[in-house]
Amino acid sequence: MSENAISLENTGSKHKISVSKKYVKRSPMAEIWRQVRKNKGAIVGLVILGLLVFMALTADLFYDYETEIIQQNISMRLQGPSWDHWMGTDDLGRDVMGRLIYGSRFSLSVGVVAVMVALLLGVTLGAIAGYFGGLLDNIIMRFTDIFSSIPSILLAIAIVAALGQSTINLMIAIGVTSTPAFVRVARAAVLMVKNQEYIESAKAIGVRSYKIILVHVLPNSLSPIIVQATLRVASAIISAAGLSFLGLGVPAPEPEWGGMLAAGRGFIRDSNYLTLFPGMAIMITVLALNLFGDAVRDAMDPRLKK
Amino acid sequence: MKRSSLIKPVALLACIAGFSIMFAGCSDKKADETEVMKTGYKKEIVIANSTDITNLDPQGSNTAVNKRIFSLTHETLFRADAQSNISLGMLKDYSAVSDREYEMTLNEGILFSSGVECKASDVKFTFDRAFESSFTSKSVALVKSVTVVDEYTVNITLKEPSQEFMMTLTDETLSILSEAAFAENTAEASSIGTGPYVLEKWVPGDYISVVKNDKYWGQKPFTEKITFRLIGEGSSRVIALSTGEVDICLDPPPVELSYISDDEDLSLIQMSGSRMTYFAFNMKKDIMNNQLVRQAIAHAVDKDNLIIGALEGRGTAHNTTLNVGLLGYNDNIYPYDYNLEKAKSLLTQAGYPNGFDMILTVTGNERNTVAQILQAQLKLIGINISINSMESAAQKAMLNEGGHQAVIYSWSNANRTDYTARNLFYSGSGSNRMFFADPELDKLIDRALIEPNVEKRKQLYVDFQNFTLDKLSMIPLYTDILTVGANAKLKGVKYHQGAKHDFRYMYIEE
Amino acid sequence: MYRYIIKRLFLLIPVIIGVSFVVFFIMDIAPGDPAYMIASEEASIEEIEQIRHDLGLDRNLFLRYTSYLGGLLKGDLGVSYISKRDVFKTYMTRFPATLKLAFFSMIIAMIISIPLGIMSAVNHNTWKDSSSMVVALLGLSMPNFWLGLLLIIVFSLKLGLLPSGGDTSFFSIILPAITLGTGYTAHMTRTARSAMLDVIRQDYLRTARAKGVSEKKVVNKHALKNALIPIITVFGIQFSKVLGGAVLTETIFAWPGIGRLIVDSINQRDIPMVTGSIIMTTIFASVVIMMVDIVYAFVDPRIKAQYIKGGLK
Repeated sequence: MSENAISLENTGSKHKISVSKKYVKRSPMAEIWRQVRKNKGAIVGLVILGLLVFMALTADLFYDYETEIIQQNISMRLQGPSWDHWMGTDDLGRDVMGRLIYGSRFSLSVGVVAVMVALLLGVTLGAIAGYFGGLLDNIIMRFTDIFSSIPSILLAIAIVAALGQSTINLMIAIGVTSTPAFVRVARAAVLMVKNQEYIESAKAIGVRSYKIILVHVLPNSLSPIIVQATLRVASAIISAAGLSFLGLGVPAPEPEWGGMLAAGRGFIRDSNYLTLFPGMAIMITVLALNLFGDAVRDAMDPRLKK
Repeated sequence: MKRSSLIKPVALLACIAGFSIMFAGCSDKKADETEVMKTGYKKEIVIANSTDITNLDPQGSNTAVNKRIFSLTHETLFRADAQSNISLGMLKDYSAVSDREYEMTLNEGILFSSGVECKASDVKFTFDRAFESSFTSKSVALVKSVTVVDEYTVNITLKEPSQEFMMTLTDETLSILSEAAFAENTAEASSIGTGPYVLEKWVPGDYISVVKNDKYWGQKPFTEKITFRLIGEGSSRVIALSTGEVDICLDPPPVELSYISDDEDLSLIQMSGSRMTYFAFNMKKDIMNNQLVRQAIAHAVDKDNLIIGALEGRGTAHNTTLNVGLLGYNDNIYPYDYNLEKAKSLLTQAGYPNGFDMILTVTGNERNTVAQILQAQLKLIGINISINSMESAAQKAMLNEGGHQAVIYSWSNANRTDYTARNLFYSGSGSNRMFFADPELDKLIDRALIEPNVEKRKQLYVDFQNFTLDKLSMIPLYTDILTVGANAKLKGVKYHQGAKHDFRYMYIEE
Repeated sequence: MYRYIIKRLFLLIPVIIGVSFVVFFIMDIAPGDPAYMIASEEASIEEIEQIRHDLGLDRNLFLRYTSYLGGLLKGDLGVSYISKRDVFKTYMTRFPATLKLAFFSMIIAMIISIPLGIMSAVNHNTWKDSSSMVVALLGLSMPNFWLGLLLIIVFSLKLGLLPSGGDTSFFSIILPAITLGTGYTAHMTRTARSAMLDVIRQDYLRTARAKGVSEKKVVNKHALKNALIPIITVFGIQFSKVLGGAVLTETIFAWPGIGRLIVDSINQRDIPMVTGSIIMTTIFASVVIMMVDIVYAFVDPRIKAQYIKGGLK
C-alpha cells in the first residue's frame, strides 16, 4: 500500500519503487469489485458519493437556480443558521445550504473532468513512451520531469492566468498539473505488459502499433491507472477549491465551494458558519472519494491478499 | 533670492543658515508638539497595510500605499495639507515671473539621507526624469523647461498657464531625488530623499521600515522607527491591532469595526474618503454608446442597496463625476433618481423594450460583489449582465485594448481637479476607460485649467459635471468611507481623505 | 558518492532550462502585457510602447527567451519588472520564511506520524489501529486552507491565544505549521503504518521473535530501521513539495514566504520574478530529493552498494 502511494506521489525523484503486481487475468474488474464490496469504508464512501451525485443531479428540483441560488436579498443578509435557512444566509442574503447543494455540481464536475483531462493526456503520453521506448520515451519523460518539478499549485495558477478565469480553464489547469502522475503510472504499467507473449505475437502478425496499445496493452494495464484516477479526483477537488479560494476558479456568482469559502472568510469573526459549511462540504466529498479510492487500491494490491 | 548665492562658499554661514532653517521649520509647527518632545516616546510604531508597496521609486508608482512611504522619506517643493492648503515645502521662496514662469529657491542645508546637499540641479534632475515616467509625465506635461539659475534657484517655465501647477508640485510622485545617487549608481537610488525618515529595510511581501533621519533639516520626528507591515487579511489586521502587535490598522474590514470601537485602548478614525467607484461604459461598443440606455441603467441602479450589500454600508452614494473635495465638486446636480418605471420607458425609447445582454468586467472581491448586486438590480429592467471576473493584469490589457463593454472602476484624487477631469474624460487619455471623446468637453477642461479666477473656475467645473452627467459615459456609484483603527494613545497623525496619511510627526507617549 | 552527486547536479541543468522555458512560455501567453502592469493608470499608448521597448517585450518570444537563458547560464536571474530589485536577492529574502514553515510542519508531521504509524501497525486490526487510520484519513481529506481558517477562528479569534498572521513572533509559526503539517502527518502516518506492517511480517523478524527477542526490541531495533526507508522517502518528497507549494497556507496566515511571492508575481506578470523564483524552487526541491537519496545510503546498505557501483537508476 505504502509503496504504491509513494510511486503515485513521487514526482521529482528517480528512485520510484515500481508498481510491481501480478494481475488476475480473468475479469479483473469483477474481482476488484468483489474486494471493494467487503470494505466497510468503501461502502460508506460510495453511499456518500451516491448522495452527492444525486444532490448534484436533482438540485434543480429543490431549488430554483435563478431565484434561490443567484438572486440576492440584501435584507436577509448574514442571518445565522435557523429553521428557514439551515445553514444561514451569506453576505448577499442567499441561502447557504441551497448554494452548497448546487455547488456540488461544480466541485464534482471540476474534479472528474480535470482527472479525465489528465487521464487522457497522461495515459496517451505514458502509453506511447512505454510502448515505443527509446528517444520518444526519453523526450516524453523529460517533459514529464519538467512539468512535475514545477510545484503543481503554482503551475495551475500560472495556467489559469494564461488561459483566463473560467470553469473550463480551471479544469484544464488542474488536469495538466495532474498529468505527470498518469504518464508515469501508464508508462510503468505498459512496460510491464509490453514484453508479454501475446503482445509479441500481435506484433509478429503485423497488427498496427496504435491498435496493439489500445486493444491489447492498455486494457491489461488498467488497474494502477484506475487507482490513480480515483485518488486523483479527491486531490483535484481540493486543488480546484484552493484555486477558487484564491479567486482563480469558478467565477461568481456561481456557488462553488472554494469560492464560497473565500467569500465567507471576510466574515470569519461574526459569521463563521460561512466558513464552516463550505469547508465541511469539501471535506466530506474528499473523504468519501478517499475511502473509496483506498478500498480500490487495497483490492488491487496483491500483497494485501492473504 | 539672490542672497542665497552669496553665502554658499562659507561653510560656517551655511551651518548657521541650516540651524535657522531648522528653527524656522519648528516654528511652523504647533507649540504643543514641540513641548511634548521632552517626554518619552514609543520607539517603534507599526502600521498594518492591506496591500503591498510595489517599489521604492516615487516616480514609479502612484498608489496611496507607496506614497505614504515617500512622504516620510522624501519631500516635495510645496506641501499640501489634508485640506489642500498649499505651503512651502523644501522651498524657501518662490515668485511668479509671469503667468507661466516661476522662480523657486530651495532652502539651504537640506541634506539627502546620503549626506549630499540638495541643490537646484537635483530639482532639474527630478523633472528631467519625470518626463520619462508614465507616472509623472502627465503631471509635468505642461512644463516647457526647468533651468538652474544658481545653486539653489530654478526657473520653471510652462507651455501654458496652469492654475493647478503648484498643487501638482505637492504630489509625492514629484518628490525631489538625488542626482548624485543616480550618477553613482547607488542601489535603489530612488529611495534616497530628504525626508525626516530614511529607508531601513524593505522585504517585499512582508514589511518596510524607516528610521529617523538624523540629518533632517526640519523639525525632527518623535518616533525612532516606523514599520509598515503587510497583513493582507482584514480580520488578521484587526486582531493584530487588538493584541497590540501593530499600532495602526489601515482599512479595517467594515464588518469588524465594532471590535475597534468597543475597545477602550483603541480608537476608530472615520472620514469620507476620496476614492469614487464608477460604472463605466465603453462608448465604442454598440448598445453601450446609446445615451438613453445608459440613462435607463442609471435610473435602475439603487446605490444605497449597493452600499449595504457590497460595503456593509460603509460608503456614501456618489452622484457626480469628480472626487469629493475637488474644486467645484457638486453632488446636487445628479438627475437620475432610482425609478424603475422611468428606466423601463427610457429603455423602450432606446429601442430595447425587452432589455439586452451585456458583459460587465471586474477584478477583485469588492467590485465582484458590486457587479453581482448590479446584475441583480438591472435584471429588473430586463438587462442581463454576465460578470467577467478577471485578474487585474488581464483586465488592464482588456481595458487598454478597449475590449470591454462595461467595467467597474475607481479613481482616487483628493486635490487635483484638472488632473482628474483630464485623465478621466479628455479625448484619448490613457485612463479614459470609457473612450469618451467630445471636443466640446476637451475645450471646457482646457479653459478651466487656465482660468485665474477661482469662482469662475469653480463654475467651469460645475459645467463640466453637468455635461458629463448628461452624457453619462460613467455612472458614479459610491465613495468609500475611510477608516483607520489605531492605538488610542497615538497622536500627531494627519489623516488624509485620499489615504495619504501624514505619519511624520506621530508619536505614542510612554 | 561524490561522482554521483555531481552527476545528479548536472542532470538538473536540462530540467532547469526546461522549467524556465515552460514558465516563460506560459507567462508569455497569459493575457495582460507586463508593460500595462508597470505603467501608470494614466499611461498613454506611446508610453506603454516605450516600456515594452525598454524591457525588450517588443521582441519575439524566442529572442527574449534566449537572452534570458544567456543571463541564466551566467547565474543572473534578472531584475523584477515591478519592484526593480534583483530577483535572486528578493527570492532569498523570502526563502527563510518558507524554509522555516516547511521545517516546522515536517517536525510536527514526524513527531506525530511515526509513533502513531508504528502503534497502528503493532496493534494491527484493533480499535487503536482503525481509529488512528480514521483520523489520518480525515487529515488527508481536509482542505488545509479550511483547517487554517478553523484554527484562526478557534485559537486567534475565540481564545485569543495565538497570532493569526505574519511572521512576527516565536508563536507565529504554530498555526501555519499545524495547518500545513496536518496533511503530511496524515500521509506519513499511513506510510509509517504500512511500512511497519510490511516489515513486521518478514521472516527475519519471525526468526528474531523465535529466538526470544522481546517484542519491544523487535519493533524498535529491527523493524523500525527497515521501515524507515519508505518513511524517509515520503518525508523528503513532502519536504521538497512544501518548499514551493505552501501558497494557500502562506496566503491565509500572511506568511511572507515564496509561495505568495510567486503568486503575486504571476498576478503582476512579473516574468523575471516568476521564472527566477520557480527555478530557484526547483533547485532547492531537487537538492532536498538528492539529500534524501544520500540519507538512504546510510539507512540501507544495499542502496549504498549501488551508489558505489556508480549511479543509481
